[in-house]
Amino acid sequence: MDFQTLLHKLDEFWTKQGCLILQPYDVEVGAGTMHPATFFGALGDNPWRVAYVQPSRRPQDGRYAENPNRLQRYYQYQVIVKPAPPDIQKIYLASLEFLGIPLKEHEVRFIEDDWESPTLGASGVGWEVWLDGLEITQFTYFQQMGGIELTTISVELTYGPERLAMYLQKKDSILDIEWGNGMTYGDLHKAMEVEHCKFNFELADISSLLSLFNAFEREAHSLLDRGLVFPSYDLALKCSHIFNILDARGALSVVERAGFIDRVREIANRCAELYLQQEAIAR
Amino acid sequence: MKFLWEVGCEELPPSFIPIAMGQLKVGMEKVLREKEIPFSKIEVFGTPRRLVLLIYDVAPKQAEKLLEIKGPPYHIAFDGQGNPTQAALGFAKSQGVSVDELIVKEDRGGKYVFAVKVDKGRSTEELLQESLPDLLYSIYLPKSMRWDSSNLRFIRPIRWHLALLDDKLVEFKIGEIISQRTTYLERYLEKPYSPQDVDDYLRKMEEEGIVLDPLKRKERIFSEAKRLSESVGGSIAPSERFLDKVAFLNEKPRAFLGKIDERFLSLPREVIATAMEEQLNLFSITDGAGKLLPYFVGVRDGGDIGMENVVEGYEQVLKARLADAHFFFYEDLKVPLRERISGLSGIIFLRGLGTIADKVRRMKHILVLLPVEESVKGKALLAAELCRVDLTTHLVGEFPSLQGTIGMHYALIQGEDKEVAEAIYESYQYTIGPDGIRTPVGRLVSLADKMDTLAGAFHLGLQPSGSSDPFALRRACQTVIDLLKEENRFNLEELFEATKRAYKEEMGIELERSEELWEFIRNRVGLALRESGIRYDIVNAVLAGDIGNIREVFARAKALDELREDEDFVPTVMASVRLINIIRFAQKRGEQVGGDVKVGYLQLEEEKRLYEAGKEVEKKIEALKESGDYKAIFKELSSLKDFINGFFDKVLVMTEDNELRANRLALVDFIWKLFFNQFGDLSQIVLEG
Repeated sequence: MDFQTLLHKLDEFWTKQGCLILQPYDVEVGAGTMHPATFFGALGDNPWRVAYVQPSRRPQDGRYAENPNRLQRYYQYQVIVKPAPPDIQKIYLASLEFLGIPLKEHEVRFIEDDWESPTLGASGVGWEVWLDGLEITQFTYFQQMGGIELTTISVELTYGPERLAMYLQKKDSILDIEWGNGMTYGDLHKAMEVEHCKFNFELADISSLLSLFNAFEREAHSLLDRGLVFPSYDLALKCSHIFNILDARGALSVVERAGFIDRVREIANRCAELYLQQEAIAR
Repeated sequence: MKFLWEVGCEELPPSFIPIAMGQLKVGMEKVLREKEIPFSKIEVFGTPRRLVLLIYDVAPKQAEKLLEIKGPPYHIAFDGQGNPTQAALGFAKSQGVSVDELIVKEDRGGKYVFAVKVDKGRSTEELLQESLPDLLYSIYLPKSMRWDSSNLRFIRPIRWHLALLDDKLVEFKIGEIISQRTTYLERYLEKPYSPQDVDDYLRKMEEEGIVLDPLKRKERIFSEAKRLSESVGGSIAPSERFLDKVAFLNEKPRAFLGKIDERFLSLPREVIATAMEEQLNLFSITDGAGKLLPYFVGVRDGGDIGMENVVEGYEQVLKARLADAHFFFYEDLKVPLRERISGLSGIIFLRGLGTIADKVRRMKHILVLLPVEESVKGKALLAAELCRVDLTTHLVGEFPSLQGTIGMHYALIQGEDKEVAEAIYESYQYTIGPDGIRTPVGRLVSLADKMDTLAGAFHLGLQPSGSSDPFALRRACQTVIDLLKEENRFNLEELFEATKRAYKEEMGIELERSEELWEFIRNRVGLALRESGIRYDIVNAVLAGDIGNIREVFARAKALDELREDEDFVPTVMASVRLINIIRFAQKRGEQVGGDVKVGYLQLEEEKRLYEAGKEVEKKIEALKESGDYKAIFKELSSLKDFINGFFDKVLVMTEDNELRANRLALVDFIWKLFFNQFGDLSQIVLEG
């Protein structure tokens, strides 16, 4: 099964489960969780079922495309179901069967792994899911988002589509994954990967990143003061990505890192509060 | 009757299961005892997907009890002719018995009527329905979550529960979930199973290969893994901790053998073991000489179908991890450790205390100042220089728990001295022993490292609070104490002075000898003393004194602890308490206590004798101190008790005469100091009887 078919199959499966299929968000994010559809979707008590692909950037994880398992930009397939159905584990397992993995002939394990995103003021309880030892999904019941203790619990499923594709196609390197029409993942991404590593680790201009961070942070707060949730949230995402590049550049000490994380969380928490206030008024 | 309760969950964390099992067992026993329900045995089992409680031979209900309920006094209940009054009629009616059934008994000197009733007892079923939810809710949760609209919190979602009393379904709710006659077996079996009764449940579990008892799982895993390792001519030696973890990760364990690509066996063994045990829960296999074989044992949760997929999957994942490690290992070796030292100036240690390079400079400075043999010192200085260098390697980035181990291997490969290489490893360790700090060079480097961190962090005000100890200062302090306990070339005071000078001369930072730091060390010394079995009151006494020499503090406490049964012990302690009592009394009245004793003012015989005896003992202690024989020192102090008692019997310390009073207080203080300087505050000792 090639990569694009894999993504289509997941869309198909989750469509049948009543999910809206959304598109990726157009701001750089570190994970699918940061897509507004998850951040805001998990807040409040309204039912919410969505699935989407989200390209995710983790500057620190780059290896100049020399490591077969690690990239600084890769994809997440993200599913949010609120409220979490009681048989969600079973539904999830059915999705693997749907991808053509007969589970009786394999081992699926749920390995304790609680999730936390300090920049989003978010945390959850759950597992990493292993398929014959390979981590293929993060399975999380959200408990907190934007610093707010959630009343209706969402479940978040984050598939690693590259991992699944490598498994299904029996490839040893992400770059060898067949994407479709004879193109590989490497054909499409390798040059980009190498250059971004050079930027993230060697060339990114620290002082301009620092001043961008400050400018975006200031603007986010001033927009929040004027009641704008979504543009402020975009700015929080931008700050978060800048922070990740600074971190990859080795520009931050341990204590400084904590300070930057706090500053992004402050914006995210304000966004969450304001969103809920406005939602309450709209009702 | 047999009772069964199965609580079905989504995968429970392995560390939680045994905790929950223990609490369910104790809690259930308590409930049955309190409710007076007879039973023969309770068993609690746990797997990742279920907690199972079994009560054997449980009675169907509480035992019957005769109750005597006290009514009005006899003379009110019955008139002169012995006929029941309204009071008797009313009481009998309220108790649901007839007047004829009332009996008369003496109670507290008077005659009263009593109604006798039989309490039939409530049914076990009903009592279980009432108490089981609370039993579950009372389990301590290290971390809890919500998953549905009930406000129930547990460690992971509860999805079903089954409760049977023999063959009868016992109905009650946990959160929103009603108990049912249904269990779920292997995850992939579509159909749930509805057992006839408790025995049928246990039979079915066994038939399906689900091993409820963790001990049995552990045995099975171990014996299967052992058999597989022997099939390739090797053996396994898992730690109990690892075996427990694997046992709590599987409910239907089936071991399998996998292969490791041989070209990865050139990696340090700890790297391979970490990738296998910590990251993938696989057993490593060694030959007779302790060398790793190119095989591993894994444990699958499930049956045998498709085992080849599982084996291949784990082999692939392990291969990918080891391929990473292998690549990094050879990349790292391209740059020798000695050429990496400059890289440490780019890694922050703690903001305010500079970089790791600064820390290494301070450690070396401390080592230079310590009075130790040159041969050891030379190696310690080199080890200090190299001990943090592995932080700049890729492999440590990949396996952070192997800091130090990786440095040691690189040092050995690059031809560094063996003792220096081992000290690199030891500098990261906290415990003393064959797997921890073990060599003379390692002890020194570890001491310098921990004292530098401890003193520096306190200087920044980063002391631990509550459960938060991000810089592991408690552990660091414990290690410093453990090492100083066995150190006779220098003491805590001197080590701190060296650290202070290192901070000053390398960084221009003025460390204070802060009360917080000393109090922190004092508390940890107290903990170490109590852990070594010394009674708390002796610990308190000794800790009231100076702790600048940890080795002596331990010797003092040990001597006191051993002497406590001695016949001189109590009288000596009591005599010393008389001294401190009068000092405290005088101080409360605003007196200055202390200064030199003026021999000319000693009037009474008892004063003179106490003074002379004190002077004599002072000399003898001075001579004994070299030997560190604190029992002998205590014996010397014991010889003062009669002089002290004689003094207090005859001499009025708080006399009107100012000069005399001051001199007598100075004498008392002089004698008290003899005790205090050796053993601390003996008035802390609790004397029984």
